[in-house]
Amino acid sequence: MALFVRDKAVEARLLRADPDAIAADAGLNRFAIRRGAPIFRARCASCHGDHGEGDPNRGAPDLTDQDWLYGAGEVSDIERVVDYGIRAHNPKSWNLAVMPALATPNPGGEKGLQPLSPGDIDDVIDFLMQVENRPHDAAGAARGGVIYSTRGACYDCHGADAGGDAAIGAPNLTDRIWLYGDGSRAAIFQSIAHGRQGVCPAWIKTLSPAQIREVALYVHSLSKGRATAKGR
Amino acid sequence: MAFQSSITASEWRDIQKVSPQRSLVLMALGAVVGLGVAGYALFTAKGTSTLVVPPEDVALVNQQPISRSDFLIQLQTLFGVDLAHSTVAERQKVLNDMIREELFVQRGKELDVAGIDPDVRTAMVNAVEQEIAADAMTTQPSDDKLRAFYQAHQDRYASEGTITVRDLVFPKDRATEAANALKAGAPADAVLARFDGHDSRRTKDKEFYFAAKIHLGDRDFAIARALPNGGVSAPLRESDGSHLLYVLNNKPPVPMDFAQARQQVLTDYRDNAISRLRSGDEAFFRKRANILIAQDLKR
Repeated sequence: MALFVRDKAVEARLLRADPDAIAADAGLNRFAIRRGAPIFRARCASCHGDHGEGDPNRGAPDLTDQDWLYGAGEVSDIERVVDYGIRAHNPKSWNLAVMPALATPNPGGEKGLQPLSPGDIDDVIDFLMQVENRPHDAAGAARGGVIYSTRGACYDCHGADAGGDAAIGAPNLTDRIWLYGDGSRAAIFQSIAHGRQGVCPAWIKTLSPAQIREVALYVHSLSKGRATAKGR
Repeated sequence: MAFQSSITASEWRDIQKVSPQRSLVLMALGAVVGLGVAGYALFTAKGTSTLVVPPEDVALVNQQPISRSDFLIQLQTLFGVDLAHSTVAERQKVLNDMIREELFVQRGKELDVAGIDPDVRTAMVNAVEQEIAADAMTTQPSDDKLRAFYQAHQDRYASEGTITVRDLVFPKDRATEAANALKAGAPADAVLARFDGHDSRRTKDKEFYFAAKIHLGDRDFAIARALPNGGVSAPLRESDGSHLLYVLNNKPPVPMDFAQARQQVLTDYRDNAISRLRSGDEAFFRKRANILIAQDLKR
């Protein structure tokens, strides 16, 4: 009984705390991580792996690195994803952009995006290889760069510098971290041709607010380090 | 009480002997625990009226919670700051906005806005549909289920075929000779020059099947698709001359194995589940509803 009351009191403290400041409170952080780990294993590990290592075959991001697809990897960013998911059919889900399937007759839906030919896609891949300083065909990369920033509309999400945009979950294409596949030409072709739209469920109706914060703190703890805090 | 004095510590601990005092204490303890549990459940159950704001919320508006996580998101959205870097004025502004919104939503329910405003009705229908879909998203299907789905719909999972085809136009009386020259391996440009032909330019380099189909039309695409690399069609008579479809490269769609198709299979599986859930829910809504239809519209 006493333990239950004590845990409830710590839970309340956890919930009232600024999520991005909890990591500095070792006791509270430890409490949350201890309770978040089994929740992660039960709810998240089926996609992200038992240790959060991710699975590029499923487009499940590695949660142990510093590369955050949405937000800057702060606890509040992670908590938002756990709460409302990604393309999870929750009105508050992250759902601002999808990778269009450019080898289909109508890749852009109402945006009027035109399909690319196999040669166009090869050129865009050469451009991406060039951006990553990998072997590429220079003429193809030059053509691909034009497609990237014009009719391919890649710049619209991934940015003119291909650096991605964490505000909409558009991956950085310059860092050699690949959400899908191994970064080979075939894997990139697959992404451009068939599109991508990974999902993460919204847990707000399944987990309690305390459980959500605990799992967010656990995921935060998995990261081996992080970039500087988000812009304020 | 008289018996109290005669009770020793050993009698209290010996569960083989009846101890009225022990029974009373345990009964009292049970009652206290029971009351505690009941009280906790009573005051923490959803919908219970309370004067205390739960730790996960920042406010209660007529007992309707405004969640702390929504508050933080709103703070970030409106001012681009997290809690630690926000000012009192910023926090107050966000809180007031959220309370105002909640009050207006509650008033909207009192006024039955959904009964009169088509936008609200549409939003409500969409929201309920999304809600149903969200339930399907939280279930992660096993690989066995996905494999079964893949096997049942294997024809959906293939790469898009590609084709490089030239549409060459010749005078009607020279097309057969041109076709023979192409079949004999003469370069297309040389054949065009020799037999007064021209390239219609309906197709461009290597194309996906769907694009070639759009550019060539259904009939000509079906002919081209059936030709091997280096294949030449029979002359196709059109008003501008006889067309020869000359296929330089034809790569038909290749079926994807389960690993390659897994992501698409998962998407399709979920779409299918969402569709079934929506139909099921609609059937349930209809079943439990009391729907009366005017006489003149009854079939």
